[in-house]
Amino acid sequence: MKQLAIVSGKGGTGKTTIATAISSILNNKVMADCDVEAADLNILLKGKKIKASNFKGKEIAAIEYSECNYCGICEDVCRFDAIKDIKVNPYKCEGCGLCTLKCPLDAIKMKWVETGEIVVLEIENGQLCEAQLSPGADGSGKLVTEVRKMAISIGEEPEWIIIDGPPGIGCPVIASITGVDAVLVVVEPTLSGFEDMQRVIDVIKDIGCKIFVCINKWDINFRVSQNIMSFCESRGIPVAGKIYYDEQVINALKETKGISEFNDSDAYKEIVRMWEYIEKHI
Amino acid sequence: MAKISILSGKGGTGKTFASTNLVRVLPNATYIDCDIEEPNGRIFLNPIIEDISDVYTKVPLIDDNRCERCGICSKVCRFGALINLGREILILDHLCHSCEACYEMCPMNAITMANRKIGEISTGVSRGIDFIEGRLNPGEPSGVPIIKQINILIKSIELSIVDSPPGTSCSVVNTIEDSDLCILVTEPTPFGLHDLKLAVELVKEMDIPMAVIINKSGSDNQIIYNYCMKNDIKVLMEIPYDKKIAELYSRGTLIAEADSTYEKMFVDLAEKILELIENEAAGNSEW
Amino acid sequence: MRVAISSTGTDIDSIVDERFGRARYFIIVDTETGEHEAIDNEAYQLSGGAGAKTAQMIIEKGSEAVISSNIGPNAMDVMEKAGIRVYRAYNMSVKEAVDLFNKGLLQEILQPTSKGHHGGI
Repeated sequence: MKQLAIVSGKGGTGKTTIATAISSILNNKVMADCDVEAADLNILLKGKKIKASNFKGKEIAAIEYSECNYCGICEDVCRFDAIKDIKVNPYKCEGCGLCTLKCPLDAIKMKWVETGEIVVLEIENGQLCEAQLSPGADGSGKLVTEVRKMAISIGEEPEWIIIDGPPGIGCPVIASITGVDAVLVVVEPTLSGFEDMQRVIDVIKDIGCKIFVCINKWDINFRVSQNIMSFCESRGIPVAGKIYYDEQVINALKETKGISEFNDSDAYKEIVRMWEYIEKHI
Repeated sequence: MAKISILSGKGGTGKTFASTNLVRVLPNATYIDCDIEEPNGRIFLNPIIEDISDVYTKVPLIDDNRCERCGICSKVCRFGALINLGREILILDHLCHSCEACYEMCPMNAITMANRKIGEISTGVSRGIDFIEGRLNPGEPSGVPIIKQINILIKSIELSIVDSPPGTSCSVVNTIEDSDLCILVTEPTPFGLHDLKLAVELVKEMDIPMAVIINKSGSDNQIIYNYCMKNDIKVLMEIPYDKKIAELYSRGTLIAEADSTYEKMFVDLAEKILELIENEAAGNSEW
Repeated sequence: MRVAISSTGTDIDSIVDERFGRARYFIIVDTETGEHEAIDNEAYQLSGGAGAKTAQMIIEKGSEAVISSNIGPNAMDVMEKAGIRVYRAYNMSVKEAVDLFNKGLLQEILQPTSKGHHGGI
């Protein structure tokens, strides 16, 4: 079993299109949608839900009102203004537990609360694991870890686990790429895209796994594409794929289809070629 | 005083594109970049930075003369930021949430809270537009203290256009807090709609008025219109899918400056937004 | 010497857990006598600081060495300061890992293998 994570410094670079295309190429795989704030792989993969479980991601203070004399000490000590009128605001509570220590009547306990859901779906030639974090909830790194755990446990010895990572460089990204065999960084040749790509590569370098780069819409700005390629060369990172701007991708998305259903499109052919390269060099 | 936050359920939908062009055509507006992990607004606005101030969080500092290594601080810290090695207490700054439980519970009064830098706020001017940007140092777990600091600045700004972080995380919640209007940027695809729904859910829960901009607009706008109609949300603008936009954007150029048709579109948008805010203010004062 | 091994189960034939802070159990083995005990790692479910909290538990249990697959910088930092050495074992049982350790065949981890963050592996 090999694990590949697909990431990009910023959102909207075509990660999901590429992940879906790779999914169509592979015969025995588990896809893990680790973009837990906005999971969307299933819009294209159209899987059937076979299993769901709650995710309790956070401990917050819970006041036992039968024991409480409303003295207000908890409100005063909380550094996050999370208690008002002797009521805990679950968005603001960070779970530090100081109120439980300071309550003279021992009326506050810590309680695990649900902050998301993990879902397993049956897709063509494999499974898809995804999760949805409740809006405003934190701890997405831990949820990513749970999705990956689920992905490993669900399949019947899958050849590949393909992880569609979240955007950015924060902890959920790190949780998505820890322990994988390789990371594919998808970048668009824009100044901001190039900047974000360098940042995410710095993070991956720290973890120390194999890196591939894919330049999506690489013809929209040849100069930035050239800069990306020289940057990759100087860092010893192979540019595995260069996908042309292709109207077919937009058409496919409009029809909620994977680009694989447009299998004579330039974009799909290039992704297939890129996958062959990655498989060989991983 | 008005605060307008631009957000989207997900990154890459054109938040920064919309905010930077909007601020260009709005008189007396300040551009505020709260996408602290990846503040990109400056690429398009090229501001002259006049001032940079550091943002700190509080972390414990232990007075070795008073500390008796009892380890209570380490036991009460639920984040693992204080470790009792027996002969000393090790402090892991990055894990600290500044809850001050250690400071409160230390029986020897050996702990004080000290400042630690996590990022900075830059202020400047871009051809007449005031510019504020929060930037989180790489590897820092939370940028919320920077956003809170910026929110204090916003209180004394006439008209703030806030470029929010992507998603619906806790930093987004803090960014859009107390906004007069949220503008949700979306794309007319099932993906766009999916992410839009998440953002709408959050903004609704926070009870903030909202409106939508459709980016990469085209023949499939109807899926967004249907949803917005059902939820009583106004669509303020359609930005066409145009390769020219992609090219100018990739060069870091503002389209409202480079193309008069687009300039007019953003002027229209600005007018609609100001009208919405006025109506909202009037609506709130009605009785 | 007391060695703590991250483990997926409570007995000595369990597979070494690849994660340190999020390992469900640790098995503490006395390498002289072969005696061992399993301990619940209560920190495994924390949303942040699991590695550091796990390291604290290992210090309290009087372990002098640790065997795991990946260890983050927070835990590594604590181990280093506490003078506890960390060794790498992959894809084998706790028993096998201890045997290799006794023969001096396990590689020592000197740098964290995963970067620190809130809530990950």
